[in-house]
Amino acid sequence: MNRRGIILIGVLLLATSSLLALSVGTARIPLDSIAGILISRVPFIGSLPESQPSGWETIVMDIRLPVVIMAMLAGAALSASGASLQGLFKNPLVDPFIIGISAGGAFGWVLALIVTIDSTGWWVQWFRASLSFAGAITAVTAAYLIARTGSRVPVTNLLLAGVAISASLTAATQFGIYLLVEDPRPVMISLLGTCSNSRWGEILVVAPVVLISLPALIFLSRDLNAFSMGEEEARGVGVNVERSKFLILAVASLLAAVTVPFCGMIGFVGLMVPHMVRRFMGPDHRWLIPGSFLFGSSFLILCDMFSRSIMDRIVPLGMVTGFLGGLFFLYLIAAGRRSG
Amino acid sequence: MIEVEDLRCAYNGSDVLKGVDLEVEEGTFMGLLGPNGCGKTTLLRCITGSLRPRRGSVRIMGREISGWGRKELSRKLSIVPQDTSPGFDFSVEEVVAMGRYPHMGRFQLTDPDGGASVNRALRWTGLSELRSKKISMLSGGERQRAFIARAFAQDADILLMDEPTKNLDIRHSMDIMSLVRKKNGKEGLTILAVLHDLDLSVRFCDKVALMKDGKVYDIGPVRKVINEDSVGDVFDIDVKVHRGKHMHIEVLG
Repeated sequence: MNRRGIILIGVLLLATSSLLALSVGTARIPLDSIAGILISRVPFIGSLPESQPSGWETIVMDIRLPVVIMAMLAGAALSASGASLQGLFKNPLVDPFIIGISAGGAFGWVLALIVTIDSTGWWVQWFRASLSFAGAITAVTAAYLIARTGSRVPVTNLLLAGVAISASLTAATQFGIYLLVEDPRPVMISLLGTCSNSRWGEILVVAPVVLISLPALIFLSRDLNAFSMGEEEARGVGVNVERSKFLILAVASLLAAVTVPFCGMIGFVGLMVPHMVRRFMGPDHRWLIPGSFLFGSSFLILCDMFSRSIMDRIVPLGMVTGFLGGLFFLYLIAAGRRSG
Repeated sequence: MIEVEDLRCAYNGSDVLKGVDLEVEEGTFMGLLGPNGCGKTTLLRCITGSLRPRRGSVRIMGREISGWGRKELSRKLSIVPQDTSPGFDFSVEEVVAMGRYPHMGRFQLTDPDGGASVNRALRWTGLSELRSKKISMLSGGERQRAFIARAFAQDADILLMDEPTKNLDIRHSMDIMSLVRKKNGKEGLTILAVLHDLDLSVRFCDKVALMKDGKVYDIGPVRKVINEDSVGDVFDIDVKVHRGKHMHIEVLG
């Protein structure tokens, strides 16, 4: 199948999974009512159907829609970030969290939690989110600076520095929780990822970052193709290697870092989605980046739907992505082996 | 086309290049020979601008290397580095099309005029039939031809190669060498190649530069530079040079 066809399938999948995810939850709302509610919000055309429970509109518009949109944005961000870092590092095993982003974000978040543990007020969650974002960006910047030798930043150094920083920060985070938090369960859910508390205000922060980064990465995708051949090769076809590396790293880090304060550490998405997409669309980043964006968003919407519906309480999203993603990935590996 | 003057370049504090002077004239196919560790690859990387020398100068077409923009330079100078291993499984055509990147604008995602150059490069390297094959499905010789095709698609005036026949058997090595020789003969492509096989070098190159210990030992036409004394001295072995239709260097011990 050609790549345009796959993109079309991706769009259809995104629409279907969004509708499904809006319908599933404590109150099950039929798909036609959801369509009715959504259409009623379109200016001039829509009017609300009379014959449905009055609470449904509130549930769909104020509770579920922000959750679904947040899952969509986070899935897209993590997948596109993973795809570009894999290209930059010329290594399909890289994910956005390996260079310290999630560990830094978690550390910042727990630090803020400990400071504000007895505080209440609207500012508390924004304070935690800010510190978490600052932690993520600080960690990846530190990895970049530590890896730098002279005027260049060898990617192996960057990986090693990222892994080392992640290890130390993760240990520090766990120590903080162990020592200072009485009931770690709510902390667990925030750290292991969830989109289920998302509100419109948070989307207003995440959406612009994600929507600006996509075109930026698409314009860097030629450089990413060149990087996948090696740095000398990239230089040979006119890529300004160090500048390009910095730009790709900056955009990819920003994308992953903006998800951590609001959704926690949703693992495996950034590793797996680009793999899947590469399988169907090939390694050309001009297709791989938009493809990851599209399929990553559907994937996370569906995972979030499971996380809200398989138990009577919300299961951390990172557990769902890890478990389902891992199994699906194993299936793909086995299928790939059979087909040779 | 390429002028190198008193080039000194250091790795970890000690000079690897200790004052290299070298000139490659337009249309020349020059081989760069010498024992392992004598600085051939370092010299090549200084010429591509990927290493910054400690002292001395590199001029490409009369202009100092630091005065070239990266993209502008790669429209004039193409590179086939050693041991290219793609991280992902691109098709032959995708790899060759990367050679068009220097000709595309920053915000251009496809190259409408590049198809002709890509086709020409595929034809030159005999890869037209294999264009939609994945790189991983190719043999070693075909892969190397694909990387050379990518350099050809750049439509540059200069080609730098680092051990293009490394890991190839004698037949495929001959293929590669005659391929670039033909391009040099017909279109006047200037070539500077690091080579390790003496017989192949003397057979295909116009000129050679012999390097030893970070310096150019001798440079000039093949039959003038290559003799028992020079080769013996540079590689620290005893050789006999047979000067028939094709020169042959016999290693005595």
